[in-house]
Amino acid sequence: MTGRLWGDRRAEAFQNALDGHVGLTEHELAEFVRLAHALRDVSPVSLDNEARDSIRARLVAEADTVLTPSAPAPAPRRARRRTVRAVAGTTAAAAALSAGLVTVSADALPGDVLYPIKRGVEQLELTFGGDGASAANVHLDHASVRLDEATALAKGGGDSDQITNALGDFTSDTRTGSGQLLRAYASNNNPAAIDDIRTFTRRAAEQLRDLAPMLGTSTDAAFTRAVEAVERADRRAIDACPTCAGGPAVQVPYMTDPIGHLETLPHHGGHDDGNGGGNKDRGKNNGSDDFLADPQSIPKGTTLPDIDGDFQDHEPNNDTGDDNHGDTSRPKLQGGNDSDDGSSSLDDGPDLGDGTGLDNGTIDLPDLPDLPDTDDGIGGAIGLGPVEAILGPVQNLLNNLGPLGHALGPVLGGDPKSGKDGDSKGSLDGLLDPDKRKNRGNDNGQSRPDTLEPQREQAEEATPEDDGTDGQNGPNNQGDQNNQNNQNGQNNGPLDGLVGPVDQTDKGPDVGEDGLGGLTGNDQEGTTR
Amino acid sequence: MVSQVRAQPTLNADDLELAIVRSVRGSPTDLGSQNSPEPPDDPQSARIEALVDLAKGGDSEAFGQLYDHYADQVFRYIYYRVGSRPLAEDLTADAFVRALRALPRFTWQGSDFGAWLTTIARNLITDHFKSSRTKREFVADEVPDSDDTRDGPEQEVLTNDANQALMDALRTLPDDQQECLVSRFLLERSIAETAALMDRSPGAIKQLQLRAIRTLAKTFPEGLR
Repeated sequence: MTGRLWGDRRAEAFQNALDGHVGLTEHELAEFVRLAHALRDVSPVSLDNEARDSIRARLVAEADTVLTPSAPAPAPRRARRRTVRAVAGTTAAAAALSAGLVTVSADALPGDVLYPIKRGVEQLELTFGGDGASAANVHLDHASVRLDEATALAKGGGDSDQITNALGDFTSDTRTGSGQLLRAYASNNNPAAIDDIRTFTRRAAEQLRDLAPMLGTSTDAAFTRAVEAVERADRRAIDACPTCAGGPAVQVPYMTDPIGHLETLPHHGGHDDGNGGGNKDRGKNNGSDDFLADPQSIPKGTTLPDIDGDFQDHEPNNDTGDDNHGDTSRPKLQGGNDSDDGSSSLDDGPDLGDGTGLDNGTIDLPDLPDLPDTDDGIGGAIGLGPVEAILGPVQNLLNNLGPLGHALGPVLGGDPKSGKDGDSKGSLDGLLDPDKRKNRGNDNGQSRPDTLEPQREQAEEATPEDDGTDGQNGPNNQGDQNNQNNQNGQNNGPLDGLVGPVDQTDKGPDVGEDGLGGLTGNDQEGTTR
Repeated sequence: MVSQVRAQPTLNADDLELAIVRSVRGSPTDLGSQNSPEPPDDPQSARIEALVDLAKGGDSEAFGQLYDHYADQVFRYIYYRVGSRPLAEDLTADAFVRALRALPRFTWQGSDFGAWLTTIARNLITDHFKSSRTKREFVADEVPDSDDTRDGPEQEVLTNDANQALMDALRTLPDDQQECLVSRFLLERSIAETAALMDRSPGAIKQLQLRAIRTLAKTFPEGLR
């Protein structure tokens, strides 16, 4: 009976539907309302997490490719790098997620079939890493993984290129992660961020120490940058929160293989950077400039800064070479100094000396007069505090360089640049200047243009140690420098004398650089971001 | 049931809509707006707007967040139409990929981003059905989606007999009726939103809604009890 009724109604409804003009009874209305509710009450389905994540990974990876071109993105380089990695890894990861390969891939090393999946999974972690401190810690976790990989590769006699890449990624993740944590700390004063950094740097320093003996000379540059990044991150953390617990600054005696390093170091000037465009710059300065610069810088204000500067130079270049530019460039600068922070000050000190020549070249001499401002000196002092921690390694480096220094000595003396710079400063200044300038430009730019970073730097610089440090550094540096200087020899004497003036001039340049700084500052900001 | 015989068809589609809305909210406003994914002018929509701008500027993570926000909506829409979870997942991914590629051309022309996404999904579904009519029939008639059983508690509810039978019945409806009911009741979109999605007038949607419910009632009389 019901069936019949329904049959009738169906026919009627069908007709109505055809008419497109449907009337309904109150009873129908009530029924339909109930039916509508039944539909509404159907529990909503949703994507299961697996599918959701894999689709997301694929989308973000593709977004990097699709969206980047049209985007005047803040950090295009970084985006590009991420894209490469993401495309290769994330897509695979998406597939792997459902295939259960993720856990299997966790132990994969570069070169392994599953390695791209591992990296893709990491990309997912970053994607879901949230913001601020949590994302920063994801970066640091990834840095640790890279270091583990580098160690495993080194133990297994792995390809030096892969080790270099692992170390390079370690360096950039370290910089990114620690930079983000420092920013987080700056915004919320939560000491956990500092603790996170220092926990990481302590562990990383130990690993790097263990790794050093296993590395060949071809990975020196990458290793040096990695060490520098760790020490710099550590120093910056200490500077940001001097009262936070965490023990003394970490140091990595990475000069375990003096011979190898010596051989490499000269190259570093050119080769290391060679990776990136930075080398070219260096080339301009002179391959040896870096070295020279260091010694000189040391005598002048603080040895440490110089060293940092050198490192920075290398790093910056390298970084530049790398996709990291955006990120790295800043960090490098900073890092170089130990840098950023100190760098402003440090850089100023050494930079001034070095930079002076360069600055002069770029900047009008009139600026130099401005330089006399002791500010630079002060700044340098501030920066030095952190630097001291690094001094140990630096000294080692310098010692190693000693022989090189000898070799370089002639070069330095003969430096054409010095002649150029010669105006105001010694030849050394000229040599130093080019590199320093770069660094400085960045540093200055950052500190002055950027409000935030400057503050940071200041804060860091503000460390009480500065003055004392300078004094301390002075001796240390001198010692180191002596080695180098002796090698460079002749220059030292003159340089030292110059230093005073140079610093002033440097300051001047700094001021002048401010303008430049603005440009660099932007870059840095981008990087920082 | 018998009483129906005596009923006189004096009410129309507008009345139905009104009755539904009242029954849901006790007020004659748009049914969908209550739970609509993006009530206009709220902080949420401002956030979406910002994310879209960022994504257009090249921020891939911003697009990822847009995905996070809309993934379920889009998936739900597709799933209710195609009835297969794996297929719906594929089409959801496709829809977002399409959106990603079309993003540079996306403009806020009277439609919110969610509606735009749904339109993309809708076109994909149409394409899918076109390219595989047979399969479509198969999918449509395919009753219980075995995949549902592996889902979490939320989905298990759906697999209860009543829900499943209702959904099965829904999928036997003509496409436009299915779509209308899915949009209106499963996705809780308003008449206006559904009209925009289906590119019809609100009045036409009301008519369609009535026809669709009527058809469903005939197809699935159990739902009336």
